[in-house]
Amino acid sequence: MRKEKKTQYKNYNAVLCMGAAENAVRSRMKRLGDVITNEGVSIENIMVLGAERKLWPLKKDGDSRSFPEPILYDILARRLTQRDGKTVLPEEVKEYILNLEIKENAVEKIAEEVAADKYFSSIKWPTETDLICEVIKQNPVFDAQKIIVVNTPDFPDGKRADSARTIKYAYKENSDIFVAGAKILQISSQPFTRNQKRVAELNLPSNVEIDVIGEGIDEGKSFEARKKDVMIGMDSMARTIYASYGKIKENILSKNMIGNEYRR
Amino acid sequence: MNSEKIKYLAYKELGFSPCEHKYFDELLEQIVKVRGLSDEDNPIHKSKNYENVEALIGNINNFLQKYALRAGERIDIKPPEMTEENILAFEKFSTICK
Repeated sequence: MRKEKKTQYKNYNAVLCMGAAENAVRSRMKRLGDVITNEGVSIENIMVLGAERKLWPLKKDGDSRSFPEPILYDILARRLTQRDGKTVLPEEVKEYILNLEIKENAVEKIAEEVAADKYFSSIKWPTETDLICEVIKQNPVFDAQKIIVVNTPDFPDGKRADSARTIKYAYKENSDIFVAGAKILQISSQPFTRNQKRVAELNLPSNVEIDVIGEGIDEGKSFEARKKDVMIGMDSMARTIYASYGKIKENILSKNMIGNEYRR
Repeated sequence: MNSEKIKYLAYKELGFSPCEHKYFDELLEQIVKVRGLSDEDNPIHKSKNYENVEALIGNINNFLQKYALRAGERIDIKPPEMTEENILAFEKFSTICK
């Protein structure tokens, strides 16, 4: 969960590109670009595993997930330009949003409220899926690649799709890719590689091989920075187990172990 | 089936290889320490009479959701207080568990 993880193979049937924040997506796509151009790795399908979560337009203190994503203003400006037939700059969009009176408090609700403003009427508010697609579009390395976009809907109760739901949805829509013996690459970063791999293993057929790569955690940090790393690492571990929990229970049942080996 | 066997199978189901088991034990102990809990709060403490693998995994999951998630910072739970020793133990865990 700390050291860098590198590719094990030279050919993959698909790479799963996931991410909810611009910085992480940019760094993962850059890493994928390096793997293709500098390490001679061949990838048949680039799968964008996104979700319908609306991008947050404003910073809210105390919540590291909610930093505004600059790419949001770029996408909105382009869509407004197309709608109105005159050039709208990203800075203008940003300024407009910053001047809005926001009544909501929760980050997801802020996105809903801003998206509902009359200035954005008939504009589809950019989502997590748009973010990943946009970052890919900006990197010429991916121009010749086959891109498959999977736009996972939120949960029925409105919560944003998590990794498990996204991978399940990708499999449901593209089961022909995940055939026996297929090699699937995931791009992540530490301390999340274990979580990502575990979630994929539990939600894809067991005869598919999962490989995950990710940048390591920098050493030699300050006490406070190391403390933060520990908190993030523990959080990731807790999420790994939470995300696996339902599937593990299913596995135990399907192995028919209750009543014999797994019961007293 | 004794508690050790149940714990072994539970860790296996959670995706830990055998050489990682003792480090996960240490991780749970460290969470108990930094949260200022008592040993009995540890889901694998010997006083816990877990009945089967599924029950133990459920207890571990609940414990981590309450004390390891960053979003789980609640007013009724003591905030984590880490020393250099705790951090080193966590770092060792995350180095061993790839």
